[in-house]
Amino acid sequence: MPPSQERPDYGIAMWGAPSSGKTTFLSALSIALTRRGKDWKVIGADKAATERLVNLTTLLTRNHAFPLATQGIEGFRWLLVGQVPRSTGKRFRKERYEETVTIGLDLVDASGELAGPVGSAISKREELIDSLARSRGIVFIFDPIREFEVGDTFDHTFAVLNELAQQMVASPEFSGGWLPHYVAVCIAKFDELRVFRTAEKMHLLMADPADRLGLPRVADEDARELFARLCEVSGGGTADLVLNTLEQHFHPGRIKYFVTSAIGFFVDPRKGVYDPDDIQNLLPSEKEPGSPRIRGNVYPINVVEPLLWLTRQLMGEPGE
Amino acid sequence: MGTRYASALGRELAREIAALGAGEVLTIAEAGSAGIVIWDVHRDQNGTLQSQVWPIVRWSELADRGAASDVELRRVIPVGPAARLLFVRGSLEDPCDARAFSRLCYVYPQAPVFHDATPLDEVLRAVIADDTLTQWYELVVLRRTRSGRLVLRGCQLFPPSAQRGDRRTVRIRCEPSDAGGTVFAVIAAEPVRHFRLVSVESASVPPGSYDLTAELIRPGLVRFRGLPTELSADQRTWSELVSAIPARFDLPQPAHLICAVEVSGTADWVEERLSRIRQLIELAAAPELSVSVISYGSHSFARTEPEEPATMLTWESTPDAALAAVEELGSRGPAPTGYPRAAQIECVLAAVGRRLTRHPGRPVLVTAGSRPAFPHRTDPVSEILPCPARHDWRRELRRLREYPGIAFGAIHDSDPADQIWESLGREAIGHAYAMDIPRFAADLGLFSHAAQTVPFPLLEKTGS
Repeated sequence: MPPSQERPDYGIAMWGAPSSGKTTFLSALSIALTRRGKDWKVIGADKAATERLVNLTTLLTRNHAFPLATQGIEGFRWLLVGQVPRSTGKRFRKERYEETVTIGLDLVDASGELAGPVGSAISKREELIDSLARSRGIVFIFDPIREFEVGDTFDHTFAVLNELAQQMVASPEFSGGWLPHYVAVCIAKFDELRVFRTAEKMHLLMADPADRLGLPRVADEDARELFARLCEVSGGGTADLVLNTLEQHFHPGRIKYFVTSAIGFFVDPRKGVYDPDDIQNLLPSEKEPGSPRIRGNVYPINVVEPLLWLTRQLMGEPGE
Repeated sequence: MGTRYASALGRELAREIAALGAGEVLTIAEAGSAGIVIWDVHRDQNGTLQSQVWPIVRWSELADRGAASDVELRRVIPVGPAARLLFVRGSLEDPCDARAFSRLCYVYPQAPVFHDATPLDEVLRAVIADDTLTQWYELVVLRRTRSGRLVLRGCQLFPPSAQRGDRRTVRIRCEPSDAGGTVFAVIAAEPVRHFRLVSVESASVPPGSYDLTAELIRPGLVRFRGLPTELSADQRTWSELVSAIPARFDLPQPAHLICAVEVSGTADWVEERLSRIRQLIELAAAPELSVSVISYGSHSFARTEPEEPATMLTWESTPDAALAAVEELGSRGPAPTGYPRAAQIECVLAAVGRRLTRHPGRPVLVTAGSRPAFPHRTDPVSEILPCPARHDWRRELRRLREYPGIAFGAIHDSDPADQIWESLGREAIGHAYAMDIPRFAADLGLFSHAAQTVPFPLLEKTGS
């Protein structure tokens, strides 16, 4: 099946507080897919989208720098191309085969300020609510470091969800008081020491046996527990409300939690394996103290998985 | 010597003066139309030439009934037959004067007569200026015995026959002095070790080691260079000076001063650290002191920037060599800041631990910098990246503390509350911009902080 150039009915939107790493997350997508192997890849749906994809990717890999925060709303018309297992025939004569599918990733990356409490940029904010209303998959980025330091995630979440619910209340999809979206809650910046150490203290760290580098992970089943724990130590004291607010508005069966890192942990190129004594992949900048750089190669963690999960849900698959 | 002079008179004067012994006088009678001028030239007790000119005696004063009187002539020139005497005949236009001079030559037949157009004082000044030393010239110094007793002795500066312009450099050490300052006394010494003072000058010289250059301006005058202050004549008596010498002088134990300097940061900071280290070495410089200098910066974690390891510039060298290394570091300018939150202190400690031996003295590690060390593994609190070599500064410090008598001093220019800086400044800690270096050195046992004053310089061994 040739890649579809048509805009899909339901896109995937991104949402999160300012500087929570939404654009970095997208920048790491292509790298994550490449490291994953040959099953999935991301391409641009048009020339501008391809250009943006290439720019964001090389910014991380070549320049070892982070993208600038999005101003307003930026759309990413990317296509996820991969193999999906299919089967035909009856129960005892089933034939299994792999089908090449193309999923339109109509990602909307809105600047964090638009997700805040009602402010001056009303038209842009309406654009964010519209994009969330149009989408049926949401990547919600929770930045625990910002929550430690600023503690405003709830402010951003609560306001947007209420406006979204208000806009969709008349929709037939708004049944049972639930918004119709699938939500991939990404607990970002797993590579940051405070997040990593919290997971370590909770004994949630594990390694994927198939990962030759031995990079640590938190299983998806444990991600919600880590999220809850991180909310307890929030700077603003309201982060615990975020979890409840999300689960009040979206059907719990449509929410999945992922512990993610766009840049991953440091792997010394001379040793080629993860060293638990030297894990930081962030390098403070000598010239610009507030603008850290990336120390080594980028090894994204759980960047592809939330998107694949969302696309599978939107395609009507039973899930993983 | 006499061949340097064009005239016979110059040559004869040079010969006579060179042969002039202690207690001998060379008398020169210069006869002119106005009368006779008598010059007496002799050596003082130090062997320095002294000349004296007597008031002119007019020819008329020598006459007795129109002719020159032998009695008067012997009164004016009262020398015996063996005396060193010579006559210089100027213009005698009056026949009476010429006759009187002839009579003089008759009375003193042993005296040679010279006819010279050049004024005698010019010839004599030139000859005296070319005079050489006849005795050893020595600088009065103190030597410290093993037991700590101070012994007065002379340090030879110029041997007999030394000429004006001759120079000699000696390495001395000035200890704190009283209000009168450190005394630089030159003596003229005879073979039997009798000596006489040639000059006594003094100045308040900051404690430290100096290369003192003595220049023989002329016999009787030695000028010193190489001190930070000008010398002036000292009015104290010799007995006062000698009685001010303490019976004992306790020097710090032999030490090995290891200076580790962070060379990254702003140019001002780096220069300030180097300046403090320079002052410390100068103050602590002693024959028993060996000095090592290590420069360090930050580790590099960016692939485009090569790693610059901590560098051992000198090890167990002389204070002079260490000062040269510090000077060279200063001329390089600051190293790149690199990773901004830590510096390679842990690598410095590891390197010192590897090189340090029980010889040659008690180790004193002085670290000058601002940033903390890299941890050996990711530090969850500071979040500083680990040392690429995985050196553990706590373990390295524990190892160093096992050396008997080791002392730690820190010259800090930021916030010294960091744990490693507290450890590095265990015995002494100071801020680079406001430091009492003598106190800092005293706290490290590098410098005697007690109010001991020494009036004369101590002679240092050279070539060690």
